[in-house]
Amino acid sequence: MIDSAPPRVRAGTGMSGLKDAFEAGKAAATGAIVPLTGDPPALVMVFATPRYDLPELLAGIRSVTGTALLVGSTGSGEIVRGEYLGFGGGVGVLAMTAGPYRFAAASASEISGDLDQAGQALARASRAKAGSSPYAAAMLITDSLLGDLQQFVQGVYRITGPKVAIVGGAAGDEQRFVQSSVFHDDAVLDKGALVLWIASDRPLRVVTRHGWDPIGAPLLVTRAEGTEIAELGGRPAASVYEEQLGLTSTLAPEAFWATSILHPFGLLQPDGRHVIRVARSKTERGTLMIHGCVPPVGSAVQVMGGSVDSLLSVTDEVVDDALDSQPDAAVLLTFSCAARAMIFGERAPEEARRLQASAGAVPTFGFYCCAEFARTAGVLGTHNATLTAVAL
Amino acid sequence: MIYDGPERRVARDAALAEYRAAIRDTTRLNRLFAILGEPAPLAILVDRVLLALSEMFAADVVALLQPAGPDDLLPLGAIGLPEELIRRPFSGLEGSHAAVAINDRAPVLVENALGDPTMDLQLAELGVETAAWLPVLGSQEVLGVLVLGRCQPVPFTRSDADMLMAMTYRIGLVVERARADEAGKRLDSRLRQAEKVESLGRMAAAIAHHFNNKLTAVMGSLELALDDLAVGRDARIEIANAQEAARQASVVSLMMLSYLGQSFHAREALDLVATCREALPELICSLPPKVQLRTEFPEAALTVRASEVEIRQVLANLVLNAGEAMATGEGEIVVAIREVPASQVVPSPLLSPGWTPGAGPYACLEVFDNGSGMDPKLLGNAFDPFFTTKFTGRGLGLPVVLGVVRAHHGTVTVDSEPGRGSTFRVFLPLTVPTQDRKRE
Repeated sequence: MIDSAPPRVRAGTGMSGLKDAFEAGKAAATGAIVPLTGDPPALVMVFATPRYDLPELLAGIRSVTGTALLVGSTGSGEIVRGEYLGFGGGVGVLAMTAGPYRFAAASASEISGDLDQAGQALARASRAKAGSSPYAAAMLITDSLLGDLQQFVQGVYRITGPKVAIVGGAAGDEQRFVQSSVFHDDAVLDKGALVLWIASDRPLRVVTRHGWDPIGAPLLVTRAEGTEIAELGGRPAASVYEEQLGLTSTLAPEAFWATSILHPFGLLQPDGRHVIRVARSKTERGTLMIHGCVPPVGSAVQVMGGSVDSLLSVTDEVVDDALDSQPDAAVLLTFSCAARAMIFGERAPEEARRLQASAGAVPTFGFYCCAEFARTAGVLGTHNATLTAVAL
Repeated sequence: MIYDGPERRVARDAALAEYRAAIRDTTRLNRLFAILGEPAPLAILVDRVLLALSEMFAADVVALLQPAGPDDLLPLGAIGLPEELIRRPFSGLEGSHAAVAINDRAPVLVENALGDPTMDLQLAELGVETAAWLPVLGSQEVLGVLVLGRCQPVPFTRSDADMLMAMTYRIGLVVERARADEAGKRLDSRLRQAEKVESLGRMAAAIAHHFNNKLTAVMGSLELALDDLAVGRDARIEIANAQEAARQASVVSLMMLSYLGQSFHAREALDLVATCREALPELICSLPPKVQLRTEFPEAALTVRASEVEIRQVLANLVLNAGEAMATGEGEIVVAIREVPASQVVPSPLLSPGWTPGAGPYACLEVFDNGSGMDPKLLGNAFDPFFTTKFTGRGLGLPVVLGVVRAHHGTVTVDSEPGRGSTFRVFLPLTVPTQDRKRE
């Protein structure tokens, strides 16, 4: 009898905190390929601290994985099978066989200007390399400092349409916001972006949750400029934001981040959900700089609140929903926000542990990013302070 | 102490929900109107509107469709339609959701698209489960249809439909205004092009005049030089060659001037019939031996105000052109002249853009040949200066006809078909009514 079942994915993870970049990469990759039992990996995913000599790190990994497709980025902490590698923690490597999937990637560096066009170009190129399939996922890994990342997502969506899941995260630099890097094979891309096309015969489902609740009244964005909200309800955005929090005095710009990370904006959706946006800083002009994607003029936002427990509570739901859609999943890819890890503080390792506990035998792998990509309804697919996952 | 019992809390929550819904609807409209108020080309505005609608209504697919045939609609813009589907037409057939929305001028809401046989295939292929179709109304007509689809079992509500209808009214006005603006710009562009052509024409005429004057001086000098040279000198041959070249160049300059409607020839009352009758014998001698020429001339004179030299040139160019159209060297040419009322003069937009006939009658000089004919592409170039399909041609015969006729306030038309021959008609305004004319 001929077994017509599709081949299963075999996946392994490895990590290393060695100081030497080459040796760290080599050690993590060596651990990752063990479950592949000698088969070459079809995809290698890498998330690492930006403190490494990154070309050396990739060289170390590829000394083990050979020329297998490699994608990844720097971040603000890695998630490797229940372990949380904090700032400067090291490198996590995932190696997997193709199973029923086909992987292909397209990337670009030194991106400036039209992110929509860049998204279209990379989605088109990666899809062309992967070939056609009934379903697919487009995993996006971008430099977090490119600008309005929703423009990139919408460019990708123009090519994919709703049948292709869009997921991923923006590279980080441990919250310094100076330089983040994207990896593609042995290249370290500055101002880069990458689309990994995962061709599939069955639907791939992206799951996203945040655990925030509204604490303020809906506010109308009446003026936005570039990456800043200038006015809420016709008044300076920073003043209105501080009023919503019940503050009696204005926040000093240097103290703003400590407060705003605990009280992001929720962009009100038609079904009552909120898409989270974090204000990173307050300018002297009283505007609020948003990380990644500014709520457009005419949209309604609410100031949100949450606790470590409420944010952590979504992990089980995310894992369950993701694995329900892929009962024979070999790996759960997770993209959590660097802001969440900061809020968790000493409890930061808890999220990685809870994710793995919920996933059981399915290894979890991912990183803390500076914007999470997850399109679930409509064109909006960029999030902050959110946990996102997809099972393969 | 303020009472805060369950009823009060329920009422407060309901009021809060209403308030939030009102805020949401206001912001949706504000956002859309802000986009539509931006000074941008229509395609960009449409794209921004569709992106905003996708966000506002959590719609996975949003497309603005416009009629592209009797039963088809094509996206003017779309979000969520992948490239391979965006060029596939939507159905506008009787009974389709788009047709119902257009005919009823009202929204069509589809709550279960998965089992709906009238759902467009591309939406079904994308897994759209609920959809809304809304007519986009202009001030006079339905301009298209806006369709939104969700790939989740979340139907569009009547409230959504009301909001979307309010939006489509505004979208329709903007689409209509943009189309009017673009039509105006196209007209402006054509006018600017016409001005440019006129300016180039003036420049070309000036150059042709200049060359002609210089060539006259060259030919005169060569004549004097030739007189000074003794018979038998080799240089006389070179000078004679130079004279011939200069003469030919002068002819081209004069023909260019004719094409540009500039002429040194005086115009006077002229019997077109008599002029053509006198010119034809010489032309017949120039035709291939197996080409027959027949005339259909009226008895009465048809008087036009024209230069005899130029009329002869027009006739010669048309007849010789007809003779050259006989690929096999044999065939028939018919030269006819008749009087036609202005209503029967239908100018070619290509040859006489913007020209309209006057009130009075016209003389029509028609030259028919049953030669090789011309396809539309060739016909489109036939009157361009220096365009020729003949190895030895100058490409100025038909342009000169056009220039001379234009200068005489007339027009030229052509009917031609490959393998069936061509009919050139020259219309010139008559100067004396027929009843006052008598042939000698």
